[in-house]
Amino acid sequence: MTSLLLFLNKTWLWQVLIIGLLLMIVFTWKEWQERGKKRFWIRLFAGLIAIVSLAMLALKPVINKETKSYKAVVITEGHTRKQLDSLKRQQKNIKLISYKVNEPLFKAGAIPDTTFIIGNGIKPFDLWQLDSVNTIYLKGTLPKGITRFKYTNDVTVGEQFLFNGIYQKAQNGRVLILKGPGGIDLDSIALKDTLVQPFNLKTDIAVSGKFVFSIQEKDSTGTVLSSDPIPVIANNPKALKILMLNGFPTFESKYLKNYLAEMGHELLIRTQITRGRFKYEYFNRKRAPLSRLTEKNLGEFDLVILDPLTLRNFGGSTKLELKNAVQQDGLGIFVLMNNGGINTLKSFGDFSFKSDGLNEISVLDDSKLRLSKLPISFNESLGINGIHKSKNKLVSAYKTIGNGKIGSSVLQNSYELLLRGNTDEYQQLWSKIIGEISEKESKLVEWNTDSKIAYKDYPFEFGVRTTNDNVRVRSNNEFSIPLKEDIDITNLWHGKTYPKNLGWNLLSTQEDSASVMNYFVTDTLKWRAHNKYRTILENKRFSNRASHTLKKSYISKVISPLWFFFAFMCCVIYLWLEPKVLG
Amino acid sequence: MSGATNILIQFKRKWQLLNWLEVFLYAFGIAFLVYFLLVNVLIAMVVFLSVGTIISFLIKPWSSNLNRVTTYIDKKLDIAEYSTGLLLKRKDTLSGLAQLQQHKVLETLKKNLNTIKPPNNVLKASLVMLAFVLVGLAVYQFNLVEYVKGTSPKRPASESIAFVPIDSTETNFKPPNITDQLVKVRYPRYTNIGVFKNTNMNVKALEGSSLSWELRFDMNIKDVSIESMGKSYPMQLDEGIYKKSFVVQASGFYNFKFTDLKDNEYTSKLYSIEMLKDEQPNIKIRDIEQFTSFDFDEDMKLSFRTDITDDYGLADAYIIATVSKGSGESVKFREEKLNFDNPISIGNKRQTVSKTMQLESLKMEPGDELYFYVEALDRKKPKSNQARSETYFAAIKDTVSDQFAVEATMGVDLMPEYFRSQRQLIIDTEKLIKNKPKLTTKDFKFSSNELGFDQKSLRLKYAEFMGEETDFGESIESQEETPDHEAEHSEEDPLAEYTHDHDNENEHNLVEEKDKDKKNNPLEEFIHDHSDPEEATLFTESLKSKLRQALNEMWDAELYLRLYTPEKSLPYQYRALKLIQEIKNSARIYVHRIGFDPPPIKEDKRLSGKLDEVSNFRKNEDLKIPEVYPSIRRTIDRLAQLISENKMPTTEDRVLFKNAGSELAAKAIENPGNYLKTLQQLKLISDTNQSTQVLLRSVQRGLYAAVPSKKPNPSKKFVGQSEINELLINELNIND
Repeated sequence: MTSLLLFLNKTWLWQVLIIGLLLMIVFTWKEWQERGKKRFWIRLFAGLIAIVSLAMLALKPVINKETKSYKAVVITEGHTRKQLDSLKRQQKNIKLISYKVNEPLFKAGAIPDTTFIIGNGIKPFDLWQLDSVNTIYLKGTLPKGITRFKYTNDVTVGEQFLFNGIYQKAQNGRVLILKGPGGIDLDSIALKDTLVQPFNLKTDIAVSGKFVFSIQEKDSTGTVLSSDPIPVIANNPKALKILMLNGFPTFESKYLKNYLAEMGHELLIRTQITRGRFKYEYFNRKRAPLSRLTEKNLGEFDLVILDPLTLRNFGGSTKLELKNAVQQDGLGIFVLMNNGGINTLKSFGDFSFKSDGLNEISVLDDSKLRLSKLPISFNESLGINGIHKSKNKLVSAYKTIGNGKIGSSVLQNSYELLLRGNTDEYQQLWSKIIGEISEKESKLVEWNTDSKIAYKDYPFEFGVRTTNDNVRVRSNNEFSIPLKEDIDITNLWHGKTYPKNLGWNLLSTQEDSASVMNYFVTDTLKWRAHNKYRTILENKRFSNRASHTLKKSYISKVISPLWFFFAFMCCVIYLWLEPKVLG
Repeated sequence: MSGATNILIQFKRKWQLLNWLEVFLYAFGIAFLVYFLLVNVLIAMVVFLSVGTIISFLIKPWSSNLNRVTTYIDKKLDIAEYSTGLLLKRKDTLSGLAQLQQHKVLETLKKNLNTIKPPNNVLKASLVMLAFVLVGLAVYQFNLVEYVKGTSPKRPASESIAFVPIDSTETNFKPPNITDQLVKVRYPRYTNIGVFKNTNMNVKALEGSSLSWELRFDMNIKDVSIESMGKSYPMQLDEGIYKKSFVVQASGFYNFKFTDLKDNEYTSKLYSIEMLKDEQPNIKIRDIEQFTSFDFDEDMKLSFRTDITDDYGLADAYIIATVSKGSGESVKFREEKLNFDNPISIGNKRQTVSKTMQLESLKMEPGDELYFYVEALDRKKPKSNQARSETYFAAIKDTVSDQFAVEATMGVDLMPEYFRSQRQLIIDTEKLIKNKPKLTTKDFKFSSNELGFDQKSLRLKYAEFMGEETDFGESIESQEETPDHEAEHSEEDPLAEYTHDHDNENEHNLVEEKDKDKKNNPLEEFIHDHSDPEEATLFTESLKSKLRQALNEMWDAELYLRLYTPEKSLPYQYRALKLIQEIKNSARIYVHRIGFDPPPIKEDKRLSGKLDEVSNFRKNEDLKIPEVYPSIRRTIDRLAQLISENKMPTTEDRVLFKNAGSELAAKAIENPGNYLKTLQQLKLISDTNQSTQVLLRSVQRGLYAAVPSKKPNPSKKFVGQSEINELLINELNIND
């Protein structure tokens, strides 16, 4: 809006100009006989004005007017009377605007320079209206209920499902119940009279599938106050391919082997019997020769478990191949430590240890269960990631090298847990170590989203990470969703959809039908406290953004055609009457 | 005249009508009540007719003739001036005055007959009928009949077998219904329990009971069968009733299935058979200690009582007694079966029997021991339950006991039974303290002294280990002989006391006597003299000192016992016991220490033998533990899908549900009650297409509860490729 004058019917400009010019020529020709006289010039001027007025009537000119600056307050749900009153006292003549979802906040041309938002805030998708306005958000009363929660919605069967949350303004006598498939009670917690009560609910996932768990709030009489869905996708564990190399048989490797084989992983175990003679065991897989360890041979495995003796006996080239496999292909290596293996591990994995003199430690949930260990622990340094830690002592750790990992543990004789009957603990221990270190399969398409739950007819934003430059996303295999590439990261694409169906919905890429994202859609009556809390956060963030320099706002106004009409009439009357009056 | 008669006939008809109405009201009321009592139209009709007949004979509506009518009108209507009868007379038979009166009466009646009504009890009859109807309705509404009858209750809707067509394409056809259902439970004969009849198809029965089902249908059908645990047993038709019998062998489930004449199949819901076990008899022995001992001169009589109970009656009970003679390698056992003094009455559920045993009659001698227990059998057929009590002991104390002697070699059997004696002493002392109020002072003191003596002998025996036998050892055995002993002692030099020994080198006591011996061997202090019993190192030094301490404690214990204050003696005894136990334990450690320690293997010798005959070894195995309840797991997933998409199960789903059902049934056998509901629902959704969302959710809930959770298992995880991550990792590697 640089020029001050604009025409509403801009498209007709040329036609109007030409017609006007022709009219002017005709008029001038008509008046030509009177030339030289003073009248001629006056009439010519009057004719010009009349024609210009006519042209203006056709073109409808618009002028930009600077608007008056004022302040406004947007009143949203959850505000307090006090807030509004004090605001009114401070800011005289503040304009009150009550917020309605998905409706314009301001009238066109009446955008305030500063806007206060009081209450729980306006919905994130309505915030764009305040893009050019200085916004100050004044938080209202916090909503009551579960405001925040965290859980993994993509779990593996056999893992523990953990639901962490924060309950705002809890009341005595109320109970939160985690409900499973079909409404079975899985876990519960009693609420106490506190302002903020963190809680966690857990259960073991026993069955694979797409489930809708729910969290139910009941009062002391057992009346259900609310029930909010928790979508969970449970996948069956995918078997790992493991190569185990033993310099000599130990109980540790024997029990580990049994555990992994029983769990269905594909195992190839080579145990040295004597010089140059080996025992090969194949569990849950076909027999295949294992001659040399090359990067190519190792490619099929996700994890190599070996003991320091084997590692020591490897030649330099084999070690290099191993390291390459780790770095390039993401292989995991776990070194089953023993007393003599410290130096080997130091040189191979670049680990460093410190002596702690402890021969026993408890790393499991049950602190009474003590595991024997070497009297050392890992030095925590950059690049070292802990798996098991107890009292600031890192007992199991790994190091990321390229795409893969090399890890070890100073725990010894963990099989004693089995012998003592603590089978579950043994399995937990090793499940964690092996799960962390083994090779991860890379996905071609990775989905991510900020919220785990979508709401019907409300925008649901997601991101797709893929190397494919022509990625196309379809919703429920029906509609394409337009994607926007991330400004900074070339692989990342953003999209937004407005789900129409309740329940499970599907996002898929056209190229790879296998990589899909299931998301759960519910209505806005669920997770109300949580949604309010999110809105508050969004509003806070929005008002905290860097305040921009105030631009003068203008309003475009069509000049009333009456003015031109009057001017035209005056001119025409003058032109008509003038010869008659003056003769 | 005819007009007059008409009026009267009209009145008569009205009268009769009202009477008939009365009859109808009574009859209807009663019939209505009967209908609601018996819910049978036919009976109600019969009752209606018969009651109607009876009441009409009582009321006799036909009985009203014109004469009665006139009499009645005369009575009721004063204006009729008792002349209504004239209306019946023919005009020509009447006198002029009479004719006039007849005319007058006729006119009057024409005007006023409407004001009177024939005599009736219609109102009363209506009320009675209303009462009957109300009672009938109330009876029907509150099901009072069942309540009153009690004996043969109409089976509640939940109990009656509801059949659901498996293939419900033909829904306009009226399916056959069950009119009678019955299951007879005949307990095994030995229980003496009669036959139960039940309309509830969930059965609880004792093991070995026979169950027979009887079903009657309201129309002819093709065949009926009972399906149980995957097998189908056809029911036999006998006089319109389908019958089948079974003997209960295990808990389980069953359902009925029948085919009608149009080959439509119907199935009922699932019912459970819960087998109750015949418990084994319970035996309780009273009035006897677990261990009884007798002195050889006592009356060796054991008597006790035994309470035996069983849930379905006892068959037999007896005592198994074992006598052991001798000890060590020469021990001999003899077993005898003894009966109780009073006989067992077969079939009694609770019985108390007693037994008195004379040990002599068992040919027991001092030193022999008797072990006995009670065994009871119940009446279960074919194999009875057998129960036995705890074992009780009786012993006759031996008069001779072996002497302990320390073996020269001091083998492993280092600690003989003496060490038990201190404990026994403590027990006896405590017993004495406890019994103090009951005992006379003399007895108490005597016992205390006796204990002191025992304590002394114990101490002396321990002292033997210390090599002190010469000091004390003989003293106990020859206390009475002390004078002799002294005499003997003096024999060495009987005159010593009376003479002055001048022959001695130390004649004038210039040097102290004692030093003399010591000087004999100046090295004595520095050598270890094995030949000297005093110095015998039977125990290590600390052991020796401990034993010494123990002996000291025993000294004190004995002292207080001898002072008749056993209370004070107890702490010393306890300390002595503790010390003795420590000695025992340290002795054990000694044995432990001499274990075999193999010499360490030389590393360079390892893996250096001949390997010609050693070859590589290959083994291929599938160790994967198969998934438990795969169908149940898949069903839960599938149900989640159906519930979420609000769909009905397909035919394929039903096959899956059926498989899940058999998996769950196998799991449910142990306690059918837990899973019965889920099984029934699962059966319903797999056999029929009557699924609802609520039902599906309920099944899913039940199944989820039945599935055990899986063990922790590492799994392959997924990771997204990200340029940023790769850049970061590369950067890290470069800087590493």
